[in-house]
Amino acid sequence: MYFARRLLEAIPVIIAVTFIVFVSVRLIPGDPARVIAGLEATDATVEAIRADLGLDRPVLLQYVVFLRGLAVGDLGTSYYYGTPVIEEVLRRFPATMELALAGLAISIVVGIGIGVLSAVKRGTWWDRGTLVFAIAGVSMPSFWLALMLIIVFAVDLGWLPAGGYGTWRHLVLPAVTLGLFGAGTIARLTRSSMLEVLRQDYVRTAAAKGLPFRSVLFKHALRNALVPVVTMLGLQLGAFLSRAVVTETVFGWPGIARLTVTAVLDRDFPLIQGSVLWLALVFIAANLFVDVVYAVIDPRIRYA
Amino acid sequence: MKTFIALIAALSLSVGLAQGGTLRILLSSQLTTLEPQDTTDTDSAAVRFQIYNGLVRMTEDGNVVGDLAESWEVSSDGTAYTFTLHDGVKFHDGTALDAAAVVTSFERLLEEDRNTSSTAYFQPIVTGVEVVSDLQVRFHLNEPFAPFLNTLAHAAGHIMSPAGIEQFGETYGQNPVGSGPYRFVEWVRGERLVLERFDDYFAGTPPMERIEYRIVPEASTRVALLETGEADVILRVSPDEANRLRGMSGVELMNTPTARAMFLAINLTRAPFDDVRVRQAINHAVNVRAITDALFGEDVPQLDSPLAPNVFGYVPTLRYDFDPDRALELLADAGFEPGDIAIDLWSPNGRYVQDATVAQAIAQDLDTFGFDVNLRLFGDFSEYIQVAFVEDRGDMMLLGWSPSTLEAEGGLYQVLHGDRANQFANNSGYDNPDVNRLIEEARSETTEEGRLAKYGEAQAIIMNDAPWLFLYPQPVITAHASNVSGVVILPSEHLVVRDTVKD
Repeated sequence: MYFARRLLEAIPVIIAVTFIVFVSVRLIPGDPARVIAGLEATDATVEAIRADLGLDRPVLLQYVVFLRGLAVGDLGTSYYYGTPVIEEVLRRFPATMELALAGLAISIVVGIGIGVLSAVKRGTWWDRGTLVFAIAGVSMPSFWLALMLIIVFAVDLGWLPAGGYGTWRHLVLPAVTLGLFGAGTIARLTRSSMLEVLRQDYVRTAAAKGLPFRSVLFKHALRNALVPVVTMLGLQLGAFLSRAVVTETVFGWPGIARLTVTAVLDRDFPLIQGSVLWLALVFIAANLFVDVVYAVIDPRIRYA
Repeated sequence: MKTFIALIAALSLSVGLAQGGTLRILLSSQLTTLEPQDTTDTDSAAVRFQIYNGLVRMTEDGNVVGDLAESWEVSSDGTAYTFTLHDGVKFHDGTALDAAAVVTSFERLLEEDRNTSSTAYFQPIVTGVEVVSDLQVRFHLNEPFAPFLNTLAHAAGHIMSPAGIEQFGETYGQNPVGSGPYRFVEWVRGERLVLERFDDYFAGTPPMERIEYRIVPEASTRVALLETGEADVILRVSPDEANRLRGMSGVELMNTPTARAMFLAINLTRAPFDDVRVRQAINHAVNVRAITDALFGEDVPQLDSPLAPNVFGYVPTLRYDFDPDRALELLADAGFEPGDIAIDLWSPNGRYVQDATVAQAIAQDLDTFGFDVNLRLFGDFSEYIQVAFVEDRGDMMLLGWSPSTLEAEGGLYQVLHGDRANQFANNSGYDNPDVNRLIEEARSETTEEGRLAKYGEAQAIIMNDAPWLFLYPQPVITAHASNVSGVVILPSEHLVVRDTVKD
């Protein structure tokens, strides 16, 4: 029931997203017909192209046409590539997903790992070290980090490819670039959340019962400490995607984040609309998924 | 059995690698389509030079030579061009490339309701194309048009397979069928494009087994991939990176002057820039030589014409040396002090080689001279062209102009002829009847000397009128592994690897 309601609630959100994107791409300066035609073309050619694209019609009418297409799963044709938008989006999405999941995995493992450690070893050099790591991870520009990784691990050491797509070896450096950013935030949040939970009575009780430290830490404390961390993971997806733009560009990774940015620069309206809509869907789906995860880690959370 | 197959696969893979028959090229921007008649981006066109042939083609030095055409004749009135094709040319789908195929290809381009960037080169001048014999084809023009051969050499003139057009229709751009040395194999959009040797190529066996293009937008990553040996040829190396690569073993750099003239259009529709003395003063107030020396090295010249030196019709006329005293005199003549004049100077950022850096240096020179300069940089080129050409022009706007046909008609008409004043692409609003007339007359001059005389006269007037702040021809830097030879960058900035060999 709950999920059905959440799905229904998502529909107006999606429609609002499409409307905002639809109107805003038409408000920024830049004429797709001129971009397609090139600087050499005469105004007459540009007018003809604009009519071909249907851009000479009122914006609201264009929007209605777009919605009608959307209803039957047709996102239109890319101005620039001349191919169906849905095809471009689906072709480029898996690479981004691959990168995002690998980055997320690194974020979670590294972030939670050092978060727990620094909570347990509070106030030691280890704790202070992770603070530095966390701040560095969040504040290092991905662009710079990516280039440093390339210089060290590809050019100097020759261990991994400097860019491209294909094997797991190509995935390592971009995933680390993306993952270190998330790891810093997660580490800090896990630490503070853990410290709070470790002070709770039930943790002291569990320890007093003579349970092994390991069991107290992971079964009793960590599980509860993760609730805010999981919330943040869902919300961080947006930040992840914006970092993915830079990561995909530097590593020549053929993902949807870069596709969307080049579509904006080329004023490829259908492609912008299609990919933003797709990313909005992914964002909503991810946050729904986070809700499911809550229920798993904290059985007290139930949705009426 | 499975193990056996895997073993064979591994063996064949290692053999493939050992032969080293793959040329790996890194491009910087997304490929759009491989259909010749509808391409605006340089890289897609560059890929097509391997897949297709035109009737004629451009060489590295900007000359037009035969490609599919063995020879050609021009009628005495200059309105009919008859081409004789090489015998036995085949498309990649096995069909014959004969006169009928050429006609089919061009008739498609000339269809009235086709509105692509490329139709504009042919529709206004070509009235018909006909089959004369199996291997002879004739083009009819509505009037003598001396730059016609250059126009034919444009990438839009590549001949498409009629059977391929029939088979693929709308998706031809993703399934190109040409007659060139390498045939299309695979295109994974956004990632890579693969070509393979075409064994039946009419002009001899192509040197490489495979050509693989990859898209890597970030310049530093392209350099890293070349350094690690993961790429053989990389495009658009920045001057900084080039300095780092220089002297590195195993890497060679090519610095190619292109046909793209870089300039700042001065807005003649606004006072005081409607005064020629003010515009000349601006030209004397900027030390272009110092800027190019610092950024690109001494090989890159300062423009002494609105055309780059490797464009046909280029005649050096006048160069504005850095001379602030002369600039002050000119301004005083016009009744101004530098401090009286405010300049809105606009430039794209990231469109041309070092564009923003150049604009900043120029703004600094103008500021030092005493003008009140307001510099605005645009990271988004689509926005820039809308603003700088249509909505709200500044006083000076940076632009690079490369005539696609590599001759003076393309280099002068669209940016400096009165027909195009105050619209694309003549946004200085320059309209001098003498220049207009000379550009028009040059079209029907049938001799090279006659054309050069007209163009030379036009260039002298333009330089004196100074509708632009004249800068330099844009240089492009390409790098490749030392074991690769025969890499060609055309003056049109296209990378051609038809004859490239890798040891």
